[in-house]
Amino acid sequence: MISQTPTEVTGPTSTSSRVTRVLGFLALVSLGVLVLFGLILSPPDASQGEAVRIMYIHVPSATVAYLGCFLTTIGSIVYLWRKSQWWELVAYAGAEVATLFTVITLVTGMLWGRPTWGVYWVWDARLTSTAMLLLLLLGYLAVRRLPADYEVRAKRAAIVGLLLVPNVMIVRKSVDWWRTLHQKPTLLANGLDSKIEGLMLFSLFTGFIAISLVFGWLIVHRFRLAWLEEQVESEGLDLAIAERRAEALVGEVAP
Amino acid sequence: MIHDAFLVAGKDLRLEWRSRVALNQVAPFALLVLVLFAFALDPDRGLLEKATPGLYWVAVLFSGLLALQRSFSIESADGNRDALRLSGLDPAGIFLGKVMAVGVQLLALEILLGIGVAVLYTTPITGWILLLVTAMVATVAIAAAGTLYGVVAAGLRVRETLLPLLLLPVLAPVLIGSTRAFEAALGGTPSEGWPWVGLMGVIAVLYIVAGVFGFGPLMEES
Amino acid sequence: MNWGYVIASWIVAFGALGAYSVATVLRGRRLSKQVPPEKRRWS
Repeated sequence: MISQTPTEVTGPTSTSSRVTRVLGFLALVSLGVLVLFGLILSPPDASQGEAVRIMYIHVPSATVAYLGCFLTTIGSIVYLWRKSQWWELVAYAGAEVATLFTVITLVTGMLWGRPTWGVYWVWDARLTSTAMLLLLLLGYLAVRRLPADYEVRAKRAAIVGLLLVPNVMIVRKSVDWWRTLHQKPTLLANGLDSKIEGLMLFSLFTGFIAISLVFGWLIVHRFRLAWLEEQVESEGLDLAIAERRAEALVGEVAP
Repeated sequence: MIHDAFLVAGKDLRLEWRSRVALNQVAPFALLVLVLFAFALDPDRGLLEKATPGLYWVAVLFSGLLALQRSFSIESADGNRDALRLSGLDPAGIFLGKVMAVGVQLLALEILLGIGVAVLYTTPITGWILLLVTAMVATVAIAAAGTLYGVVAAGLRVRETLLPLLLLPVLAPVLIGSTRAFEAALGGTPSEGWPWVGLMGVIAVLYIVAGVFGFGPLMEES
Repeated sequence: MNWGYVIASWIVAFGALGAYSVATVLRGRRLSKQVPPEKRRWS
């Protein structure tokens, strides 16, 4: 509708670039290696049985979810300090990708808990604080996606994002105390770190690499998408005004 | 800054006193919550007595949320936000003043709910000092976080639904802490409660600092 | 014996990542058309 002018299209037609193509290729290859080692070549665990294979996704997902939260807080701080839109978009991309990985962490954790503990959910310190992390992230995203001007959304979201990591730490601490004052330390403690060796360790390592690459790829794409969204919104305003004007003209012609 | 804070706190409390919404609607709601808990948890089986600290703080949180919503809906009506911004008051002072006003209302609610709990649920009290200190620290934490997120949500059409989503996860540690500390004070060993008071103190300080520095940028925007 | 849970969690994880990636890329393509080229500077 807009770009009907036959100008030479110099910009890219999607959010990908050479960097993301290389990153995406490496991510796919490492995911393939992860499937090979995680599902086929590595042996079942002595205590957890086959369920240990869930950990090869679960643990790296949890790690990159926290990484995304750090991006959000750092981005928010720099935005508030320097008014840099670049960092604001990094914060937004970090939060959304972190939300995705938090959901994956929770679901895989529950699917691991059912065969290992016999239930999908226990009020374990780590599980509870991960659930709280998801709620905190949803709060940030709710503010960031407010139907309001960019300035308003960005600034308010940045205040929430600035407090994201401190909140996560406090929630983590309080939930730790809440559980450990009343019962033994977390059930997970005797889960993974008990005896891990050889192919299992390599599978987990591959999991970290693959999930980190996917995380990086998603962050870059989401960041560019966020940039496009803001451009379209500011463009869209001009367009809407033009359309309204055209409508008004048509209305005058009609009987 | 402190002078501005008292000015704003006085203004908010006077407004609240004149409109009597807190008195006529929020306070009865708080008592209603207590009665509803008694319906939900059979009082004869000792469940209610065991759960009293938790129920008390959940009631404080929910009725406090109403009071907060109320205090920010006053602010966004009539372009009051612009008036405050143009008044030349220190933003940090405005923030602290609002925290104080909300804190005073919360304390009033807590006293009311405390009497209600003592009468309706017949709970024995052992550690008075811990009880009072816990209530004070938790109040400051709730008021500071509530005011900061209240301003984040203020002036938006979705603020009624946004504020609980932002605030309640953040206050979860305060709920855990105050509940455990109350358990220790109500028939437990009071020494177990003090670490929780410390944790809530950290939250209170964090939000006061964040508010003092973040309030200026938040007020600037259109 | 726990293969069901293993497969289910891998499918959930890969499915979620795949769906989100596809959605992001497609939305990026659609929005790219609406933004003038000089505003899209990555290559």
